[in-house]
Amino acid sequence: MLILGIETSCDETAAAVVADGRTILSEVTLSQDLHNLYGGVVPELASREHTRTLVPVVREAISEAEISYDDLEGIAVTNGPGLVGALLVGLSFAKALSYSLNKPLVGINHLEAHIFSVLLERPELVPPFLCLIISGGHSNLYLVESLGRYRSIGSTRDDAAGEAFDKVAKLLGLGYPGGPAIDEVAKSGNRDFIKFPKARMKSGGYDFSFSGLKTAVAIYVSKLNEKELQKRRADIAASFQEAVVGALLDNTIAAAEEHRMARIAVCGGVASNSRLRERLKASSETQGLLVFYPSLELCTDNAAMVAAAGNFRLENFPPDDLELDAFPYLELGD
Amino acid sequence: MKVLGIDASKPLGSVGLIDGEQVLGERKFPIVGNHKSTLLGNIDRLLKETGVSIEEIEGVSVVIGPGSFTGLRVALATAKGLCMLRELPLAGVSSLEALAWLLPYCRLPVLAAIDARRGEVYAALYNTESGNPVRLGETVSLSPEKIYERFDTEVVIIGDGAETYGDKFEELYGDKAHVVRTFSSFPGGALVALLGREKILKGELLSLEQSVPVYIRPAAAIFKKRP
Repeated sequence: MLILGIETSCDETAAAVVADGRTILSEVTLSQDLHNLYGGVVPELASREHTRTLVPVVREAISEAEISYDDLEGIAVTNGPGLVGALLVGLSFAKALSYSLNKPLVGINHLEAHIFSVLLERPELVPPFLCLIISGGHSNLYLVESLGRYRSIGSTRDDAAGEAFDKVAKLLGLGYPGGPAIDEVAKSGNRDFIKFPKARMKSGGYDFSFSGLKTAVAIYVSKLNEKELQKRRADIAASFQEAVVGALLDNTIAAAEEHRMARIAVCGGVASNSRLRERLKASSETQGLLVFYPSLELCTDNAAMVAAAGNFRLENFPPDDLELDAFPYLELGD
Repeated sequence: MKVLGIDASKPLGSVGLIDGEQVLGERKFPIVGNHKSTLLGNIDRLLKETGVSIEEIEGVSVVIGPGSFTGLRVALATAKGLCMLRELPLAGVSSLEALAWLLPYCRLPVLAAIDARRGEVYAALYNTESGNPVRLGETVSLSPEKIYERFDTEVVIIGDGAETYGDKFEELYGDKAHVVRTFSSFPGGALVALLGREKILKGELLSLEQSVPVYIRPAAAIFKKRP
């Protein structure tokens, strides 16, 4: 099927055309850099920007794919989780377009779309597998039992992994978004410089917690003067990154062992972190695990993954109706 | 020319359909709480009721603001989605000007006032003596007290802002305020369509690629946790 995907759940306005859930004909993502000034996404600004940029982005995706609107066989749009105001812009537009085109519409869970960002490029990855979704808004561990059947076995109790990167980057004066900035600076730092605490969940399970770590960094930084901070910035960044990566890795490897999963998919913006990839590579080699990532462009929010998930949904389930709503706290799986 | 009118700027939304100057139909529906996505379903019902298919629509008119930020965006995004495929003309209508159209040939200036929450109203002053409202001065978002300071003249006040703050306006203006308390659910989608049709005929169109709602208020830089 030829599917147009639309994604506006946070600060990326994106549209893509994907054939049969496998071949990306076009992918247009407009990142709103206006939030950089504030060190984080301002929801009202994000919604305002989507309203302005959606039509040019969709038109670009259609023209880049060299198709006409009539060739489309369905429209897939993210309807949660995310910022409700931002979601409503993409959803309202997608509904109206599908109505005027008279083509089926399907609402897509953003988290399921992330899982499809891996499946899209790696047809050899078949369920069951373990999927770690780590981004600015999410930190989730899922058992993908079969396509469409997901069991949540871990999620964050407080901040998402990417959010922790953003907040610590702000503390270190590294700007926004924090993930790539810390990754870069940490390369010249000593990751054993400070032993930051790693949260352990009393109740067992594979939940994450990053706010204690962020606070520990904040306390450490507050004791330094400007000159000391300057000198130690790379070491603090490297030590913080090591703690986050360690927490993500520990849970993921332990869950893979317990559930006897030999395949792990890692996706979301934080999946592009170089230290995470390095350590996962080492662990997977010793433990005999196969790790799958999307390409770097598909790690961050994009519409190709939405279209790919839409292809699966429309091939296996009835489409949604005109009353389809946006759900900011939409959950995935059992 | 069949024109669809859309207003989601208030808690009570409305859609209307006209053919030339004839009103074919109109619907009103709540768009609060969990019903923010109900707009397109209501457009569909309106078209079915009037026996008009979406392919027959030749233009869309949308209330562009001021009003509920989310409502304005839902309406504009829907309008853009409906117009994009066939490059239909899209017109934007001011929520305040639409209110002023309810009181044409009025000897007193008309103060259109929409409840803006947080103790303020969106307001603009119109001269409607000629039958066509002409705006006098800026569109503002202010408290009733500041509105009185800015528009200190004998006025007819109309809109849901007049209902919410009617007593306050009467206290401030004394005999100089004439508060209309019966039009809170108006204007409807049909009037929006009629006003938009005028604009389309004059070539005053919104760009599908560039247009944004008229918010009046800046985006408050409040940091919320991403869900």
